[in-house]
Amino acid sequence: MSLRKIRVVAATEFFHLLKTKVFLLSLILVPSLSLSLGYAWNYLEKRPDQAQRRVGVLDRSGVLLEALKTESLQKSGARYEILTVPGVGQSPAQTRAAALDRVRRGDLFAVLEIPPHPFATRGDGASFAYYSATPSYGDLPAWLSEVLNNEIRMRRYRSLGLSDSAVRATEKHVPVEEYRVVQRAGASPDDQVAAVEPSEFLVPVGSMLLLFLMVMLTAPQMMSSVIEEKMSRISEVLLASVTPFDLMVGKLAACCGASTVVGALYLAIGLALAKHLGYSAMISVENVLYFFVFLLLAVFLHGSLYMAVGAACSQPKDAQGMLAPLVLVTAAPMVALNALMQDPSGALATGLSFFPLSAPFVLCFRLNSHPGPSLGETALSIAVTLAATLACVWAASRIFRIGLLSQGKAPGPLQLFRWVFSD
Amino acid sequence: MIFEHSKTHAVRVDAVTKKFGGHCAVDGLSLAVPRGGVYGFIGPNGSGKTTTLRMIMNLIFPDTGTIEVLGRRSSSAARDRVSYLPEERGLYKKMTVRGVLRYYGLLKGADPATVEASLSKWLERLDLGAWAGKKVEELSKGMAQKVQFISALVSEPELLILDEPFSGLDPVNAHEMKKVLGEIKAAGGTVILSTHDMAAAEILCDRIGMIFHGRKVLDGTLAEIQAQYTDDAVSVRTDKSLGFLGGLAGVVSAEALGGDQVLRLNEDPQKFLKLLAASAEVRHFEILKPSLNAIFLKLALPPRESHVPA
Repeated sequence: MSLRKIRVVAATEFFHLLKTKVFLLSLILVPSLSLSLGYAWNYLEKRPDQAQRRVGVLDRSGVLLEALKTESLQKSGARYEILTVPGVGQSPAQTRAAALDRVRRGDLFAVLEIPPHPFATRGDGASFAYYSATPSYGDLPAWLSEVLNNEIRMRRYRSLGLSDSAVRATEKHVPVEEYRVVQRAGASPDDQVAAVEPSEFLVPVGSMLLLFLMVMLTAPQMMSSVIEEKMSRISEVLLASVTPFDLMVGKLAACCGASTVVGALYLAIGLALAKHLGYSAMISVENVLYFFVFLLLAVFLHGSLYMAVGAACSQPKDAQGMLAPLVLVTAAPMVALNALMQDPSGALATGLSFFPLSAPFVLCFRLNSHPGPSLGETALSIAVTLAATLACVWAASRIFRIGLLSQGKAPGPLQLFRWVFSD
Repeated sequence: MIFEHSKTHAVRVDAVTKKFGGHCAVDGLSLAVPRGGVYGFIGPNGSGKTTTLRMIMNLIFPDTGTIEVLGRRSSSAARDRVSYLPEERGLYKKMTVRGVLRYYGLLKGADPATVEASLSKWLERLDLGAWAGKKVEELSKGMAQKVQFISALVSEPELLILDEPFSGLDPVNAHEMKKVLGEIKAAGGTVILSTHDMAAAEILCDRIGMIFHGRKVLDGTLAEIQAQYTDDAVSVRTDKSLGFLGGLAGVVSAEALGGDQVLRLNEDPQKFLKLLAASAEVRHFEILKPSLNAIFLKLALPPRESHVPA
């Protein structure tokens, strides 16, 4: 191994990588797109739904329609216009059919059918029927259910002789305040707990996504660079000067350098943003250092595999098929994000922490979550990932050595396996 | 360039065999390339030349046999003292000419100052000085090929291995490169030149080795090879007719070629000269030597198996 040559390859590839259009575009596009989407999401979520929806009501009870109309005018912000569906013909079925035709024509957004005896408390009870051509819009049936059930409940209480004020007092909601138990900081009982913030998962999810972004920003670039070298017939010239292992390690070092620079840049922006929003206490120096450890491990591990794929392929389209399983495995922690958030120390999180391809991402998430992994678990996970990284770099360099000089049809998994163990 | 004059060989290939699957690309090949001079490595396409060169460069490994480069058993140990220009070679299109040459030079382990001085010298020598700061993608094909050639020289190697360096070059650039190779040879450098350009090989090479079906079929100086493959033909100019000459003892066939007559003999040309002098006025007598191209064709044309030594 020649450190001098690795340094030459790393420096050249590093500056080459930083100057590629795709990299520069990703560098600017990804954060600006993320911020724009976040802002747009926030804006749209806060913005009231301006569209007015017309609801036809077939009130067979004869008492609940007015409650709906009143509530609609007072509290729904006139989002929903409640209309009486006039009776057609002799049977309720005929009236319903006529109303549903209005839904089909777009004259009504939905039709609500109220049963004749909605107050019944015995037997299976009655139910409301809601008909809509847009069943995915859940706000309206939820609002109808809330208003109707409130009215029914009030009427039931009244029938039991309770006044409205007594009912309101009885039903006063008592909230549950959530606290996280933390290490004792002082003698005060208040020092033993911390309030659970809604932004509790901002840092773990953000750091995991940032790590994923860094890997995806550089590893595929390195793969493209290897394929380009193969297609341009540069590989053989390079291999006459430098061993495949040194060449690959140099490229990986460049990858790590670019990831670290960009990661540090994004992290600085993130820290400034966290400070601005008052979340800076959630980020520890220790976890920032861990982030860079995982960044290096992830880039070396994934970068070596991407480069091996690049070396095995003669053209970019060959790489697509080979990359699919790798991308799926890499993205597994993102897919399992909900489960990780639900239980950061559960079986899934622990399992993924010891699977080398996902370990850096999951550990990065868990270290910023509560409860985080133990020091022993973290150390073991790092050791497992480090061992796997070394094995991957070694195996990938074997594929790299043979792949760079081979042309024609891309090898299958069995042939790749043979390349790893061939002389 | 750094030239080390010694009696040892620059490259020794000893009983090397290399198979790819069921195909034997190189079959028990032995070669010795002396230090100093140009060694021509010829052979038809698919005969195993590139495989042999790749094994010399340690890019692939022989199944059996040994290879010694610049006195070292592992050519990776001599990697920085050897430059290799493969047949199919490329350059980084987005890099500048100076940048790509510096990169290739530094990868050979040369120090930056030496690389800078060397690349400036070679760029000027091949009239590319004004293009040093341009991106490779801005160069014409001929210019790019010259840059590729310089990339092999920029580290000042002890041994230069060139695989088809003239392929695709226009006559002017090819002539320029041949001149440079001539200069390297004159300065005592060692070059292994794999080429299909037989005329260039005849002019440039001190020794020539031919490989066919993975086996060596020729090895020696041009004179030795020509002597080995002479076809006992003489070119004569006399006062006699073609018919008279064709009827002389020892003449197998006779044909007119310009003002001369070419006679194929089945006996010693010296004995025939005495006979001819006794019966005609001899104005010109020349024992014809076969060209390298003719020898190449003789060895490579079917039936091929008959040319392969047992």
